[in-house]
Amino acid sequence: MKYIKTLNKTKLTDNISVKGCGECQTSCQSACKTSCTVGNQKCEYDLTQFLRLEGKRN
Amino acid sequence: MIHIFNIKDLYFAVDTNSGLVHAVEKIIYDLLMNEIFKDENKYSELYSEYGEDSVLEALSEIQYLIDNKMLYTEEIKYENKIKPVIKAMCLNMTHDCNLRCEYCFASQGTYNGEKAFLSFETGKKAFDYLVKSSGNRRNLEVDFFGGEPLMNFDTIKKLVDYGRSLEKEYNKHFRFTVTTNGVLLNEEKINYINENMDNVVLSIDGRKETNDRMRKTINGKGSYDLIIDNYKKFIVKRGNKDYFVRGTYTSNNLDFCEDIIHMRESGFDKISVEPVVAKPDEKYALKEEHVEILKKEYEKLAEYFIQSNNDKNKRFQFFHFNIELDGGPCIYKRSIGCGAGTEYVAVTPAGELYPCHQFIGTEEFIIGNVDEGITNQVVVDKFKNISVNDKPVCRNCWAKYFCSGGCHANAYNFNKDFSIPYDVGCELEKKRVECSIYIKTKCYN
Ligand code: SF4
Ligand code: SF4
Repeated sequence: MKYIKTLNKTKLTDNISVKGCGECQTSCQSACKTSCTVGNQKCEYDLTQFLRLEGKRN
Repeated sequence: MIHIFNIKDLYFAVDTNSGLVHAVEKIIYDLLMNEIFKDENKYSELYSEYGEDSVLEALSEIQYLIDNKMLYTEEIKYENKIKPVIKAMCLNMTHDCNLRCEYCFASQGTYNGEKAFLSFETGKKAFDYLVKSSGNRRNLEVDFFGGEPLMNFDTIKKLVDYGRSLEKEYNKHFRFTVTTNGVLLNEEKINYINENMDNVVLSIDGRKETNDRMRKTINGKGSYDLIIDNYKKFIVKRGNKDYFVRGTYTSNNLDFCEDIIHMRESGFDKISVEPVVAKPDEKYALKEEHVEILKKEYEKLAEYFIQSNNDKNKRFQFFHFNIELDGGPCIYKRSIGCGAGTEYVAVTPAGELYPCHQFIGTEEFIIGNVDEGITNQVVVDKFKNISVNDKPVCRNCWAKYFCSGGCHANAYNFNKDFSIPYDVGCELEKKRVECSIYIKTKCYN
């Protein structure tokens, strides 16, 4: 592509069958407390899986 | 749905449904503008500017994106997999405050009620409720809030210990935050907070004159001199752990970028500054006529951010300019909204549950209490059916998956209707998303 550079590597529609664990932070709890925004949050999916497995092992 | 925009020398196209952001050359921007790429009579007018070959080549790139579901992507149909459960809590440690900030939505800490302190017993019940209601979610969030939470510091310490004991028993992880005005921060509290709080929000509005205009002591004096050294000491000890100095801007400081520069130059490197939430008749409220000025101010801030980013000693984070283009939340999370009343509740010292801190004091919004949990399903249901695609304005907004639908409290304050977002808030949110994308490209690509 000569005129277009796509900034993301993944689409929102990728992997939607495995996503949706609900472990990520509640948006308003962070540093704002007045304005909602989710674009700046992180997905916790892998981390959660990892911790769950760990929990089972212990 | 797509959105095209330009800041300074850069041009972008955002594809709402796939979440893809494309940095494009001006030729693409011109072709997408008013969708002239669809009409040969119109796009041929660009031949004189760019040359026919280039225009045709650019057209084929646009077509490539469309064919590969990267532009004008259709809305996908999905059922939201996240079944909201209450897992985050704002715990009002006091309904009392040692400052008298003019814009305080909590009516100087009391939320229009009596002064009160949360007891350990009530806090304990709140934690038990949170553990129980959260089902199989592991990460739980508690923000010690108020009023001024540090006025009830001993209870915070006991509750943190109690929370830790529940973690082991129920395989949960508590993430603690405290939001303070800084007046009572001393060595002991700083050490304790640094050890036990995952995040800390330190309130200050920026320059001394900005801060002192709104954030006053009980005697009406400014609070800046009381807190600034405490915050400086605090962050030295904080190391790499999270914190934010957090300010509010109002119509009195439309030049809020200067306040952020002041914060940065005072040594703070994690900064969040937000528009005030106020009833439209307050003299400091932000109105339609301020929007264009504020948008320019965000662009100015973006330039300052980029400049600072070039020097590793000057770098900082601005909360609303953080944007995750790949590692961000999934589409389910992005469509459910802020979670007020569905995954998030606020608890008063009397043990009442509200959908969020902004509704405390308006009794019709009480949704339950720490003894019985949710008792008022009617109000909760109002908060359940306002996901981003339920609201007509949001459904057609290009920024919906960055924003997730705005603040319900704002919508209610301004429109008395949860499904109509506060339009000034929307304009500012969209501008912040644009600036974040611009910054991302300038700094990291
Ligand atoms: S609240 Fe406003 S900016 Fe956010 S998604 Fe809705 S319309 Fe868009
Ligand atoms: S209603 Fe507003 S203040 Fe309350 S949780 Fe939602 S975004 Fe935050």
